[in-house]
Amino acid sequence: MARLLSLDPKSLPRPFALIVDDDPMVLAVAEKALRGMGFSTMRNSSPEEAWSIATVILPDLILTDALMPKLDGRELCLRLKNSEPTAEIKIIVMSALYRGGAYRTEAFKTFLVDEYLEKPIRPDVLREVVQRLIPAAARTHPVSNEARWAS
Amino acid sequence: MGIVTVNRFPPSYVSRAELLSTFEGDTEFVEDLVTIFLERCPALIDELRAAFKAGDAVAVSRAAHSMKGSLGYFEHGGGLAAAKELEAITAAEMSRGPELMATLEHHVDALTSYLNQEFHFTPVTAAL
Repeated sequence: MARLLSLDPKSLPRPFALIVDDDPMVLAVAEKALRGMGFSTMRNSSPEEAWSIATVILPDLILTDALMPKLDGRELCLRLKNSEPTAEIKIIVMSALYRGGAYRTEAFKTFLVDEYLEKPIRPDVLREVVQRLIPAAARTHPVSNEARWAS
Repeated sequence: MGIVTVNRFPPSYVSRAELLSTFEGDTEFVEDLVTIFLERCPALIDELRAAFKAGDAVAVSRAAHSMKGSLGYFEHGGGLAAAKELEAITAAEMSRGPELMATLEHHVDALTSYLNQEFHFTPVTAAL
């Protein structure tokens, strides 16, 4: 953890995705889909650690479970969206519990998620969402990240 | 009690072909996913049993939530339904534990056999 927090975000291979979940199956599926899109990935099962890591490495994408111990993934999203320089990180929240339109609306309006997916996640659905949030051109273009770091 | 409860939720497995379609024909990945599931199930069942023993409805709900997430890739029937009921359990309903656990374990055991057969793994039980 200490080593992670001393990383220079510019040294990381981009695009970079942080996957936060305590389910190894979800981690495997998400990692497969994102790596297939050219992302480098990091797994973490603790939303509190994920918060610390995100503020240091500034991932291009965070994929997080909603229901986790200590810190709800939606709260993690809101905290990141309300903080510079993490506000621009694209965040997808997944849930197998908070399903349905009302929860989806709440996730967008209250927790400022960029996308809300119901579990179990499918690679094709995840890819489609990520492609929309971070188009391929933006993924391979370093300017946006440089600008973010500079700020 | 067990028979009636189990029959209330018939099994409905995701076929090997459906799984391969979902994961773009990547047999190795699907087999890895099945392996993760088979390795994880006994621990989740143990977690549920321990939570019931401790009378901790919140812990039951959390473990059942994890079980539901894992089952969701492989079946849409009895196991998933039982996991959902366990996930929604309240402190006042903890007496339903034995009934729901028997149902869940029955379906997880059956799913384990199905997956072992479908993926030609060395037959093992989920050590329930």
